[in-house]
Amino acid sequence: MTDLDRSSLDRILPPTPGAADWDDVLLRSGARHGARRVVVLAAAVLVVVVGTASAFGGVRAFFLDRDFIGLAPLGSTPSSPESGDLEVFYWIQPGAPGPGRDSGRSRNWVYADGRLISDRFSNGLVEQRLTPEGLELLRSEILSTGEFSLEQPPPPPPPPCLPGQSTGDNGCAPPQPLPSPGEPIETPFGITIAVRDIGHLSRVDRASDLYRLEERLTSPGSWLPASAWVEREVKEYVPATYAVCYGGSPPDRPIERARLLTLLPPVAGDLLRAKDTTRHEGLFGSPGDFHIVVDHCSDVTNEEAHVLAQALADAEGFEPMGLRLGYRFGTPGSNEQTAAIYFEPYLPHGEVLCSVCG
Amino acid sequence: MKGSRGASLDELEALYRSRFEVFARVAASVTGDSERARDAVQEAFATAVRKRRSFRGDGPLEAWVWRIVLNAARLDLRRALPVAEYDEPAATNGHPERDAELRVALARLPEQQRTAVFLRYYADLDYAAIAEALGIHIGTVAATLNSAHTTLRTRLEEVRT
Repeated sequence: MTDLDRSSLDRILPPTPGAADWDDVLLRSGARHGARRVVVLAAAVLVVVVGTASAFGGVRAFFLDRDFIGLAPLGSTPSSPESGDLEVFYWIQPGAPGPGRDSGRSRNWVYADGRLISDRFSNGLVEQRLTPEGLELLRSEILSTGEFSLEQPPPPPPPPCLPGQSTGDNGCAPPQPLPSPGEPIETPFGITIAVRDIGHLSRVDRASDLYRLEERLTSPGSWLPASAWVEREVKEYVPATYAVCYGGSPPDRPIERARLLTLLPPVAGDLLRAKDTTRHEGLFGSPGDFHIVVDHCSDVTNEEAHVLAQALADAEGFEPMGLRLGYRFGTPGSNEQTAAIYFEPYLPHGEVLCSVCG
Repeated sequence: MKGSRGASLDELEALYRSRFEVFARVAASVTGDSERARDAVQEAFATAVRKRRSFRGDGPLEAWVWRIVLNAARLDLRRALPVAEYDEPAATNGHPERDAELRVALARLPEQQRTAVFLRYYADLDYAAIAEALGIHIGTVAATLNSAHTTLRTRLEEVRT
C-alpha cells in the first residue's frame, strides 16, 4: 500500500505561496498587454523620437508609407527565415546623462540565426545580421559586466550515458533543454537595464561598466569587427505577418467585435470578418485608475494589411494614431467612446510587437 | 508560426487560473522551495505566452505547459543551492505519521519518478500527457510509475516493520 491518492499527496506537498497573478505573467512575458509599462514610459516617447530620428532617417523614410509607421511597402520580401529562436533580448533604457553618452532607447532581439532586429522606438524595425562569431562576441560583452548570469550547461555525463543525457539518481536521464543556446537570456538583462530608470540602481562601482555596455549595445556596428557581420548595413525588417487589432478605447465599456466590424469601411470589415480572431484583454490608464481594454486581433499578410490601410485611409472619420500604425474612429451613439484599429508586426519568435511600449 | 495550431492568450490564461495551485505545488516538489516554485511557474507561463504560437497542438495544451513548467523548475534547481528534500511543513490533518513517512519516501525517489507520481496522482494527468510533460516515451511512463510504486512500497514497509 503506497497511499498514492490525491488527498495524501495534497497533504504532503508544500502550500502554495501567494495567489495566482496573471498580470505578473504578462509583464514577465513582455506581451503588449502589460500596459502598466506603456503608461510608465509614455512620457518619454517624444524625446526619444527626436533623438533617434536622424540616425535612422533613411530607414524611417522607407517605412513611412501612406502615413503609416511600420508597414512595409507592397512586394517587400519578408525577413527569412520566417521563424527564429530568440537568443538574447535587451532593452536599452538610457540612465542618467553622462559625459559622452548619447544613446537612445531601443529594444533589440538577437536570434540564433544571427539576425539582430532593433526597434529604435517609432522609427520602424530594422535588421542586421551577425555571424556566429558576432553573436558570441555580443553575448560575451553582455556577460563580461558580471551583472548578468548565463546558466552553465551541466558537466558532460559519464559513460555509459549517451551524448545529451544527464546522470540522475536513477541512471541516465533524458536530455533536458539547456539555457544555452536553446534558452534566451532576455529576462535578467532586460530587467537589469530597465530597473536603472525606476530607482533600483546598480552599484556605483559598476555603473561605468554598464554605461560602456549601453553604448556598445546601442551601436554594435561601432565595435564589432567586420568578421562579426554577415550584414552590417541596417535595413528594414519586413515581417511575414502582421497582427491587426481593433477594440474600444476608454473611458467607456468594451465594444463587441460584431459591432466594431460594422463601423469599419466595408472592405476592411469584410476582410477581418473572414479571419480567425483572438480576444485579448489589457489594462489602460494610470496606476490606481486602470480600465480593461478588449482587443480583437487577426493575422494578416503584408498585402492584406495594405488593403486594410488603404480602406481606412480613404474612409471619413478615421484619425491616424500618432506613434502607432493605426486609426481611431468614433462610435455612433456615444459622445465619449472611441474605437481604434492598429497594426503590429510579428517578430520571428512569434511575439507581436507593441510599438508604443518600452 | 505557420503549420502550428498555436495557443491563444485566453487559453493560457484560463489554464493558469484554473490550475495555478497544482502547477505551483508540483513544481515545489522539484525545486524544494515553494517561493521558487511559484517563480518558476510564473516564468514558465511567461515563456508559454511568448512561445504560444509554436504550440503544435499534437497533445493537450496543459501537457505542453507542464513541460515548460518542469523545465523552469529544474532550471531553478540547477541555479540554486542543492536541496536534498523539500522539507517544508506539511499539513497536520489526516495521518501525520503516515504522511511524514510517505513524504520522506517520495523525496528520496529520483526526480523523474517523483514528478511522474505527482503528475499522475495529484495533477491527474493521463499517461500521454505525462509523457509529453516529461519528454519521455509513453511506454516509459508506466515503467517509471511502476518503479516508483515498487520503491515506495519497499521503503514504507521497511519503515513500518
